[in-house]
Amino acid sequence: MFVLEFIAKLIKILRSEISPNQISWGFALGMILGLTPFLSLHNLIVVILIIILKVNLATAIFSFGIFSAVAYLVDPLFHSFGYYLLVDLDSLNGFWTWLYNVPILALSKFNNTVVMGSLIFSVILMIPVYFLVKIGVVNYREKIDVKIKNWKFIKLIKGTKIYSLYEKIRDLGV
Amino acid sequence: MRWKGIIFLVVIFAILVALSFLFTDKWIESKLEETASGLNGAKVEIDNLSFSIFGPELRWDRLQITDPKNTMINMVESGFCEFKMEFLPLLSNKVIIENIQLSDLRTNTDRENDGAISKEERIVISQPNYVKETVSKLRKRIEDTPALQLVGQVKSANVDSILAILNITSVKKIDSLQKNLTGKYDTWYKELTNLDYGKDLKTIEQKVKSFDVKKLKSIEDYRSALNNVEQINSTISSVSKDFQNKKKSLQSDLSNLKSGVSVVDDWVAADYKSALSIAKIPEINTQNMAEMIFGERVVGQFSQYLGYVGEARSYANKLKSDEPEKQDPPRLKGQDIYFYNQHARPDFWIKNIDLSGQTENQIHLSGFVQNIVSDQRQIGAPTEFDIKGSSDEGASVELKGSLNYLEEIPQEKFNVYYAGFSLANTKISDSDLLPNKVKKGTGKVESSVNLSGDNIEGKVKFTGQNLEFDLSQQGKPKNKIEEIIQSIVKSISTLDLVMSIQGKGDDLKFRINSNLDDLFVKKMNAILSGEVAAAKKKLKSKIDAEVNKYKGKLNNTISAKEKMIQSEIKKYEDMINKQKELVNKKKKEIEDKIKKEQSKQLNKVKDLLKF
Repeated sequence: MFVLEFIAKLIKILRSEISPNQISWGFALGMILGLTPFLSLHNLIVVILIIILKVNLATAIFSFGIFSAVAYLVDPLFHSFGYYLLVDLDSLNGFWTWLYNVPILALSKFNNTVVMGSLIFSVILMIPVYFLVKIGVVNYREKIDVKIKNWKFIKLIKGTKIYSLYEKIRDLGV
Repeated sequence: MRWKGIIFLVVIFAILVALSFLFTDKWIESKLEETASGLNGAKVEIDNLSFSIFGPELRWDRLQITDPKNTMINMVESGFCEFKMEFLPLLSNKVIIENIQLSDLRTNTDRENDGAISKEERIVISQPNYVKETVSKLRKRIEDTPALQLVGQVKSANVDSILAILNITSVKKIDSLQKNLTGKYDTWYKELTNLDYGKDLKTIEQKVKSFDVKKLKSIEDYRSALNNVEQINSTISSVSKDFQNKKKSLQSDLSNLKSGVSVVDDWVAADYKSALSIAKIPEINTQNMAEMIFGERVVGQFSQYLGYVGEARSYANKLKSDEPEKQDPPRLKGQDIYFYNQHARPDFWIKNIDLSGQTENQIHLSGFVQNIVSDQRQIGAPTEFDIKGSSDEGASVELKGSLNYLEEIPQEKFNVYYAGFSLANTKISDSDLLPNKVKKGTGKVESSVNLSGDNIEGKVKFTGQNLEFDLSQQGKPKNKIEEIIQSIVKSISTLDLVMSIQGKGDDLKFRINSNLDDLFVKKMNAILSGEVAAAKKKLKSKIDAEVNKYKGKLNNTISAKEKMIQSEIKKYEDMINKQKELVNKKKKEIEDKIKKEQSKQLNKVKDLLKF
C-alpha cells in the first residue's frame, strides 16, 4: 500500500505544473543526501540548498529515500573507492593532509572512506542524473502520460467503486 | 529563491541553538562516558558535565573510574574539575587543552552501584604480537610450575593412567625403525644372492683344473700356460675387488642403520620426560619454589601492565603508519584515515594534568602527567608522569615514567617506589603455600621496568617487614605439608622477593627469588624426595617394560638378519679364496717346472762346453 501510494505521489508530481528543472534538481540533491552519510557537513549545505532554492522538496525526499537504500547496499564499494582516493592515490596525499588541517573543512569528515567515496561518487553522478531526470520528466509529460491514461487497465480501475471510494477518502484527507 | 525556506531555516537554526543549550552537556557527557567506559572495561561516570562554547571550557562535579577487576570499587575518583580548551583548533576537529587541575583525587573508593559494563560495550584494542607472546610465555611458565598439591599428586600418581594418557612415541618409532631395517637388510640379502660370481668362479675353476702341467713339453708351452694362469688370477682379483667394494658399501650402509638404533635410548628418555610432566612430579629447587608461591600474582600484575603498554603502542603505531591497513568497518561507518603533518597541531593534546589527592592509605599525592597526545611526533616530546606522595604514618610513594613514541622503536620507562605501606589484611600470595592473610606488617616495593621495542628489562623488589600472619583461620594441619606451611608461616617475620625479567621472544629470562625459597625447599624436599623417587622409579620401570618388548624384537631382528648377510658374505669370500689358492698353486707348479726346465737346459749347455 505504501509503495502504491509512493508511486501515486510520484506520478502526481510528474503530472503537476512543477517545472522539470525543479524536479530534476530535487532528485539530484536528494540523491547526494541519500548516498552519503546523512550527518555530514556537506549535507548541511545540501539541505540548505534544497530549502532555499526552488527545487521540488517531494522529489528530493523521494530521491533521498531511494538512494539511502542504495547506499546501504553499495557501502563496501564506497569504502573501497574512498580508501583508494584517500590512501592509495599518492598524488592526492599532500592535498588531503592540507585539507585535514583546514578549519571547518576538517569537520567535514572527508577523511572517512565512506564519506569520501560516496560524496565523490554522488557529485560525479549529479549532473548526468539531473539531465536524465529532466529528459525523463519532459518525455513522460509529452508521450507516456497520455498513453498511460488510455490504458484499458487504468480505465478499468478508475471505473471501479473501490477507486471512487479511495478518491473520496483521499479528498477528505486533503 | 524560496523566502519561506530561508525563514524556515532561520527558525530551525534558532531552535537548534536553544536545544543545544539544553542538551549539549548531556550529549557530550554520555559520549565521553561511553568511550571512556569502553576503553576502561568498566563504567567511567562524569557527574554534571557542563560545556560552554565561551572559553571554551568544560567542567564537571565528579569523575569516577571503576576498577574493572572489582566493579563495586572506583579505581580513581576525582572532585570538581574545570579546564579550558583552545577555540580555533576545535574548528579543525582538534582538542587542545592547556592544563587540567584534577584535585581531590581518591583511590579505591566504594561505589554506590555496580560499575560493570557488558562485553559488547567494551572497546578491544588489539595487542601487539610481542605483548601477547610475552604474556603467554610467562603464563605458561607459571602453569607448568607444579602446584602445591604435590605430595597428594605424587602419592596418587597412577602410573597406568599416566601411561594411558601418555602416547609412548618410542614404541611406534622403534616399530617403524624395525620395518625400515628389515627392508634394508632384505634388499642387501637379495642383492648378495643375485651376485653371479658363483658361475664365474666355477668357470675359472674348470679352466685352472684343465691345465695339466705334465702335458707341457717346451719352455714356450710353460710360458704360455703361465700367462693363462696369470690372466685367470687377474680375473679372480677383479672379482675379489668388486666383491670387496660391495662388502664395503654394505657395511657402511649397515653401520649407518645401526647408528640409527642408538637414538632409541633418546626416544625412551623423551617419553620418560613427558610422563614426568604429565604426572607433574616436581623438581623442588629454590627457583621454582618462588614461582610456585608468588608466580601467579607477579605474572598476573606484570601481564596487566604489559597490556596497558601494548594498548598505548597499538594506538601510537596506528597513527605512525604511512599507509593505514584497510579495515572492514560496519556498514555506513567507514574507516577514518589519519593524515600526518609534522607542522600541524595534534588531533588531541592535553599538555598538562596537575594531580592532587590521597589514596585509601591516607597518602597525600601530588604530581603531573604531561603531553597526553595523539601523535608525539607533532609536539616532539614524550608522555611523562611524575607522582609523589607521603602519609603522616611514614608511607611514601613515587611513580615516575615516560612513554616515548618519537622514534621508530617505542620505548617505555617506569619507576615505582612505594614504602611504609601497611600489609594488614592483605594476601601476599595466591598460592596454597602461603594461604594466610597478613595481620601486621609493612611493605616496600621498588621497581624499574624499561621496554625498548620487543626488549624488556625489569626488576621488582618487594620487602615485607615485621610480618605477622593471621593464623586464626587455620585449623589443625591435615597433612605433613600443611604442617610445614603452618610452621613456616609462624616463623616468617620478613619477606624479600625479587622478580627479574630480561630479554625478548624466546630469549626471555624470568626469575623470582625470595628468602622463603630455601626454607620451603629444605622442608619440602625432606618429605617429597622419597615419594618423588618412588614415583619416578615406578614410572621408569613401566615405560622400560613397555619399550623393552619392542627393543628386544628389534635387536633379535637385527642379529638374525646380520647373521644371514654375514653367512652370504662368507660364502662368497670362501669361494674367491678357494679359487685364489687353486690358481696360485697352479702358478707355482708351472713356475717350478719352468725353473727345473731352465736348469736342465743350462746343464746341457755346460756339458757341451766341457767337450
